[in-house]
Amino acid sequence: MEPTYHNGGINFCWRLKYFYTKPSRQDVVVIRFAGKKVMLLKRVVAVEGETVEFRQGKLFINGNVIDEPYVRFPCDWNLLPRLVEKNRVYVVGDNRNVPIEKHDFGQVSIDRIMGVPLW
Amino acid sequence: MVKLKYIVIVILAIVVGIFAYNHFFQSEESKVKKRFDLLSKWGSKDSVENKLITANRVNNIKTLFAENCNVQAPAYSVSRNYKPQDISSIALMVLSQYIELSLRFYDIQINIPEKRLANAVLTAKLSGKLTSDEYVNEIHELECVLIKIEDNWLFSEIKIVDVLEK
Repeated sequence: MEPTYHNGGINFCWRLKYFYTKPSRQDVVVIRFAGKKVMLLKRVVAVEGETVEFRQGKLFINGNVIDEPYVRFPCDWNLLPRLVEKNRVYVVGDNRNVPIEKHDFGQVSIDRIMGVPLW
Repeated sequence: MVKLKYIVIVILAIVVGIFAYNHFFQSEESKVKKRFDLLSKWGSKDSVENKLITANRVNNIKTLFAENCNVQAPAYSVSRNYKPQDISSIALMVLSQYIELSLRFYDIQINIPEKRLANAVLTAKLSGKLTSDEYVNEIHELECVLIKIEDNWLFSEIKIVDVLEK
């Protein structure tokens, strides 16, 4: 999530954020793996029912280009359109300055979203 | 003075008793967890490690696996059954590509539905430095099945869970 959040930094997670609501586009979320010791910080770029696509580094949702002011480093990612399934969101990190194959991103179940970073 | 002697003996007996109890009456969950500790120990590598130690680690790794271990990792096209010898060969190949490597397991949840069968869900973190000076940092959720053969828990299935589906 560079440059928004630094690798190895300490963050607190606000777990009540999605008690009554669902994650929405541009939210930075905390994603769990098997437990609570190892987490990922990613940004939601699309929610269920939307189509995600990258063309020459530009993010397209439902065919419309999306402005991403939080992305500081340009990239040349290309990703064919894909539909976000029910009860899932599509997350991507802000650091796009790496090849697409080396970046962890994709659809994740909303059950795995623990909350949002406090700051 | 005599009283103090008896107190020391009693304390020593309690300490030895606790140690013996933990050693001889380990729960099955602890035994399964120990297999992950060994896999972490033998699957890691120090930057100053000599080749003999690496060869010894690789040889030890195969003792943790069942005669057939099914690996499911669709994203990496390595899904198939592996023999312990295959695991050793792969471990040797992987370790030789790294200057240093750390394999750690977190949040291990163990369920033993049958006497000789254990299911484990955990997070695996692999980080290290390749011989090409490139840094690697991989995190995956794993679902493992271990079977008990002659008092040893052996890995018989390892599945990489796709937390993020591209």
